[in-house]
Amino acid sequence: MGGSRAAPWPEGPEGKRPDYRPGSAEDFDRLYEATYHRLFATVLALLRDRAAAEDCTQEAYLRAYRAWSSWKPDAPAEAWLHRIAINVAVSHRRRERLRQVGQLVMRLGPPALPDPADEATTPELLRELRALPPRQAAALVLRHVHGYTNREIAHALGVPERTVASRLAAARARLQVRLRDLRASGTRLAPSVPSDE
Amino acid sequence: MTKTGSGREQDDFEDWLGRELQRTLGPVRGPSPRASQAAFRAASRARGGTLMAIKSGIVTAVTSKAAAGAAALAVAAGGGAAVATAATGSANPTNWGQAVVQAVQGCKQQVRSDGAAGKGSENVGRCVSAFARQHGEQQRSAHAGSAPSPKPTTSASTHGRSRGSEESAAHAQVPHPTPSGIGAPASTGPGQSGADHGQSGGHDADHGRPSPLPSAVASPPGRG
Repeated sequence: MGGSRAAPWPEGPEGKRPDYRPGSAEDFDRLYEATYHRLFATVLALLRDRAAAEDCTQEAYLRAYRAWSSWKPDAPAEAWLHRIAINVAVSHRRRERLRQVGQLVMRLGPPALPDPADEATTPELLRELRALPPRQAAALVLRHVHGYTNREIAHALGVPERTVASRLAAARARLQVRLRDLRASGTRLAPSVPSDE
Repeated sequence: MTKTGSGREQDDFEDWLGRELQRTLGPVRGPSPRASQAAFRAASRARGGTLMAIKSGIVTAVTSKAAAGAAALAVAAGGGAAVATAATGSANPTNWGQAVVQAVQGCKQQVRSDGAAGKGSENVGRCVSAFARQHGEQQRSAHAGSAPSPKPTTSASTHGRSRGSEESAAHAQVPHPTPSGIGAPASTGPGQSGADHGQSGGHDADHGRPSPLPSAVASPPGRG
């Protein structure tokens, strides 16, 4: 189980969680550089394309920066950032869905389809992950990709730990059904999401 | 205690899911993790720019008020046409009209920056009337000051007709003030505008800020 993994956030030279001072611009820079890729990966798991994920990640950091002076270090800064980023991604998904409905209603054409090249390279697992309710998907990513404990996921999602457990269970059950055939056939899933670097 | 078949299957699936998720999303890298290229940096720079604008506004306001003070001193000194010149920046009546236009524009900008909804026309009106009142006072001072004029050709009757020439003379005696010395109302306008702009800048910054609490930043959690 992922809950027994080491703390996912970067540790200082003495193995301690890095100290961030609320309101310190230098510390926020450090936090940004230490957490950017993980935050981006979480948002990418929730959204349909990279460009939107990049925009939402930047928006999340912008919001976090504005609230940085009031951040309280009672929870890991990365979990706090994740909370903001997940909310930004959820809002983006909602807007995207409304926009698609609007396009249909106004008969301006079919909703914008994802880039076929993106579709071809998007792993089946990622597609199924994106089909989940966003907070379920986020809980899975935080657990299995970033190694968060239930408590840390609870901080990141702003829900009680019990809710985290039930969301994880629901997400796994759904994916188990959806990916059963794929697993049974032994088909190797598409390669990992291409990186910009 | 042994696990049932379905329990084992779930554990297997969980292991498989963890591995695949790691393989799929673990290596994901965003475009650039450099803080100097981040959007929040650009935003903070822009905010710094706004602060600079506010500071320069305040400096402008102080400068304008100092010029207005100089004009008031000139009134006290009693140079009528000279005062008009000091107040408008020129002895030419056409330029006084321009000064009025500038004063009104200054008021409009101030009203815009104040954002006082519904009070705009009232504020502009007040500003214009203040300018007109001051101009009237200056004219009265000028008339009073012209009576003991050493110029033999200047009289009460001719003054009305040939004010231009008299003021040309005054213009020749008094050096042009700086353009920032344009009438008190006009200078009061930007002065207030500067101060208000500072306040409104601060207010905007606060208004644009999300609530500092993470719980407030986060939207209510969905049912997932």
